[in-house]
Amino acid sequence: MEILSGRRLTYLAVLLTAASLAGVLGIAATGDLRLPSAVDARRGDAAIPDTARVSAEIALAGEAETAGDVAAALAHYRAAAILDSRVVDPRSPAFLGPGFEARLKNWITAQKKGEGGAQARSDAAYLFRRMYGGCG
Amino acid sequence: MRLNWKRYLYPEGSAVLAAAGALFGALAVGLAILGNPVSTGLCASCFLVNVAGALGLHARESQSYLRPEILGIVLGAFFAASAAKEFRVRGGGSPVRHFLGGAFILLGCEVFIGCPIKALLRTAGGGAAGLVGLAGLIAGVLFATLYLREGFSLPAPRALPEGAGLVLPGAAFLLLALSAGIGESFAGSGFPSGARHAPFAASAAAGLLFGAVGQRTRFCVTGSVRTAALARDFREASGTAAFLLAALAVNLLTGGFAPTLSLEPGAHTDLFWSFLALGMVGFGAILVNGCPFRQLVRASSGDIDAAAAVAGMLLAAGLSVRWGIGSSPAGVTPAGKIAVLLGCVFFLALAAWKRKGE
Repeated sequence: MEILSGRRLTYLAVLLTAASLAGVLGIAATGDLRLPSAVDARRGDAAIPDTARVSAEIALAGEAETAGDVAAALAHYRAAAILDSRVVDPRSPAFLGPGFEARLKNWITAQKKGEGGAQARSDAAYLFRRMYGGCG
Repeated sequence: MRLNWKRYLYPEGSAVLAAAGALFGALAVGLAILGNPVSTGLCASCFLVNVAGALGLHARESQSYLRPEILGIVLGAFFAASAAKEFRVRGGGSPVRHFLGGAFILLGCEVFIGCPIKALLRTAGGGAAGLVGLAGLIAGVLFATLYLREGFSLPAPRALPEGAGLVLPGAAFLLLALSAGIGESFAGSGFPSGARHAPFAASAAAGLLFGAVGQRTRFCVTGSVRTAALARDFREASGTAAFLLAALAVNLLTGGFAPTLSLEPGAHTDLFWSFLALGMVGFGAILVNGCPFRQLVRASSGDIDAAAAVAGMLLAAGLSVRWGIGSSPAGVTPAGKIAVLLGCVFFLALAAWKRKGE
C-alpha cells in the first residue's frame, strides 16, 4: 500500500473527515433527531406513548387473525410493538403470550414456503427480531 | 511426560492461544444457552450497557443488570496479572484521548449492537449482519495499520503509584460481593428480572475465567488482526479463528445456527451502518490499544489509560440509551448514525495528528 503513505494518508484523513462531517450535517438536517427529555430518560421502559393505541392495535390484530387475514394481523402487531416493545418481550407482563410466540413462528415457517407478501414477511421478521436477543 | 507449565502461564504458541480462543467461544455460546441474550454470552459493550443501567446511568430496565461477567473479567485479569507479576500501574500518557476513544468505540458497538466479540458470536449464529460487521471491523483495523506504519503512536505511559491501579479491581470486588447477595435490587423493580441473564454463579465463574485467560493470552479480536497484518504473525489470529469455529460448532450441535439476515434475534438489517459502525470501532480500537474487552483486561492489569477508556465506555453506555443512540431491531437511529460519523472524525483526526514527522 505504498500509494497510501506520507501526505497522501493525511489528505485521505482530511477527505474522510470532511465526508463524515457532511454526513453529520445531512442527517442532522433531515433525520428525526429528538433527544428524549430528562423525564422520559428517567422513566425508561415505563415511557409508553399511548396505552390506548397499543390496546387498539392489538385488538385490530386479533380481529384480522380471526378473519384469517394474517398480513393485516402482522401489520397491527408490528404497530403495537413499535408503540410499546414490551408486548413482544417474553419477560414483560405486557407480553402477548406464548400462544402468540408459537403462532408467529408458524407464520414465519409458512412464509418460508412462499406464503404471504413482502410486507407480511418484513412485519413477521421485525416481531421475531424484537422478541429475542439485543443487549438485554 | 513432563508438563511444561510455563507454556500455559506465558502462552505464546498458536496451539495454546487457539485452545484458549476455542474455550472462550464454547463458553460464550454456553452462557447464551443458560440464559444470556442470544449471541451475548460474551459482549463487553452490551454488558457495560447493562452495568450502566444497574448503576443508574440509564433507566431502561430491560437492559439493566449488574453483570457478574464484567466484574469477573476485571477480577480475573487482576488476579492473573498479579500472579504473573505483570500488575504494573502506569498511565498518564493520554487519558483524555482514551476516555473519548473508549466512548466512541462503545457508541459504535451499540449502533452495530455488539462488540467485536459479539460480531464473532453473531456470525457463528448465522447472522449476515454480524458477518458484514465483522468485515467492517477488519477493514477498520487494516485502515488503522496504514497509520501505524506511518509512525502513529500515543504518548508513552509512565509509572504511577500502585494505589491508583487498585481502584477498578476494588470496585469490581465490592460490586460482585454486593450483587451476590442483593443483585436483583440493582436491576430495578419494574421488570421482573432486568436484562436476560444466565445464573449468577455460572456468569461470575465464566467472567473470572474470561478475565484470567484473556489477560494471559492477550485475547483481542482487533489486536489479532493488527498483528497478522503488520507482522504476518498469525498466532493471536489463531485464537480469534478458534473462537469463531468453536462457537459455530457448538451452535451447530445445539441447533443455534440459522443463516439469516432478517430473522437474526435482536439485530437490525442495516448492512451499511453495521459495516461502518464496526469499521469505526476497529479503526479506533487500534489507535487506543484495544477493543472493549481488552480495555477492561488492561485496566485491571494496572493501565490507567485503559481505565480512562473503560470510564468513557461506561458513560457512553448510559448516554447510548438515554439519547437513543443505540440501535434496535427497528433499525439504526439518526443519533446513532451521527455518533458513528463523529467517531470517524475523532479517530481520523487523532490518526492524522499523532504521526511522527507530521
